[in-house]
Amino acid sequence: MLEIERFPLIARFFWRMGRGVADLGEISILVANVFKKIFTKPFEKKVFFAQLMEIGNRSLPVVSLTSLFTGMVLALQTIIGMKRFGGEMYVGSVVGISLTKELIPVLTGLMIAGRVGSAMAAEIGTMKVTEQIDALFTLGADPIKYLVVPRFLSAIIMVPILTAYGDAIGLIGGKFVSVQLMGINPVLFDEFLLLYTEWWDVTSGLIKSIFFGGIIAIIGCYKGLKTEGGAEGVGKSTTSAVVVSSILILIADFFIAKILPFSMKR
Amino acid sequence: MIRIIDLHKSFDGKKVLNGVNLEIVDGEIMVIMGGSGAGKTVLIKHIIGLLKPDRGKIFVDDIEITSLSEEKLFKVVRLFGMVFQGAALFDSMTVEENIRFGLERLGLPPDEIERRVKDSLERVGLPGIEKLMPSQLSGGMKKRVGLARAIALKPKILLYDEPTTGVDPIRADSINKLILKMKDSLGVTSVIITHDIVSAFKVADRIAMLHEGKIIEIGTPEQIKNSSNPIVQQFIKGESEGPVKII
Repeated sequence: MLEIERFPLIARFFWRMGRGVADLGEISILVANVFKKIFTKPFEKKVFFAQLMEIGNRSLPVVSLTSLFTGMVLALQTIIGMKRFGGEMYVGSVVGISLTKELIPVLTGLMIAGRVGSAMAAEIGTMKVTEQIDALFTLGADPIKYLVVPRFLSAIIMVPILTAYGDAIGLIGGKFVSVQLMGINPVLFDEFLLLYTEWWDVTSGLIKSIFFGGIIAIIGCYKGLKTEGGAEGVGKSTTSAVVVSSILILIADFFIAKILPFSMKR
Repeated sequence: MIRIIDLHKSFDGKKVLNGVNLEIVDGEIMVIMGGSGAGKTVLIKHIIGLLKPDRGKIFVDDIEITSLSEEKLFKVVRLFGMVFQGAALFDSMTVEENIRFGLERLGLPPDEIERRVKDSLERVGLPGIEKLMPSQLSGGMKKRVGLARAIALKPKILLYDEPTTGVDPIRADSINKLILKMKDSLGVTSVIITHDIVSAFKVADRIAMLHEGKIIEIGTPEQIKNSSNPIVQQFIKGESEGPVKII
């Protein structure tokens, strides 16, 4: 192994840049492989349904809490702020647009990256260092097809569903605070929510979340498959999976918002 | 028959295999011996197609496996069974599910799968443990379940990665006996990598000594014992003084 820490700063900088580019290349190959293998037999039903449960059902509590309190605090702060110029009755539209278009998709993505992406990296990483992935191959199972494809499919299905669910919970929280604590007329809340929140706002948020699901699964699996060096390696992969997928979610959020034509529609 | 021709492999600029040439004939037990870091595991992983060489060829029954496409490689892999150093049992599955895993992928009927699971566990001397999880097994039992999982597929070639490492001498001997039994009862070709000299001399038809990425000596256990190569002698006598320096 090259002992890179002994080299000067500038060399280390370029070495890390090179590693980053190499990672990007390997991730692209993994993505291409996953897409190719989605359509080849056999389909790993058992793993797929287990992952649907893992990503979907078991994430409900964390998504519920995150969405509920985000909706509540957003409504609270919006009303406090908008009261300064007498616009507090518009809280329904502000909460509706902010939650469905940005906050819930991104926060759900980040929470799932923490909960599920880390678990994927840890599980696959442990399998890698204990030679279980080699064992899969020797028993006639393609590791990408058996491990990565079901996780990828489950994530791109479940993250949007959780986001839609989070949208609903967030709005309930927002309305609860607006009406019960801040004295906003419930009819006005609904009226402005429906008047200014368009379907595009909700849809663009859900489309983004499909990409977020893909990012979480691919990075989690990639980091797992690249794990080396026992327990310490598994720890590093897990941390790195969460950090990298969280950053990528935030970066992708901006670019998808910019690229999706209907997300720009007013 | 397995033929390895001029196999080279480097990792991060470090040469691990440096021109390995080796022939393993059908039905024999070939033990590949060598010190830690000699490249034994890397060599065995090339034989089954888990690693691709930088240079060189491997023929398995006249099929050149290093250039095969993924789909074709999966067909050749069916000829092999591999027993991993740490057993590599799937820890989220029971013993039975571990053994069934490969069998289900062969598309066998359920009653045949059932029969093979039972039969392979009996062969390794562990009947009735189908429902246990790997975490409930001792190290030696795990290795034997790993062997059961491999032989259930009825492979032509069995690869063993350090089969006796990490078990006590008595259990190591029972594993040696199992290896011999597999050869006699199933007629498989066995490739064993180990640094356990006692085990190597007990089971081998032929022994190859791997040192610094090359096969430096090959022969029957008797020939190896009488080898004039000082590196081989140092290794089989287990001496720290000699041509191989420990840093």
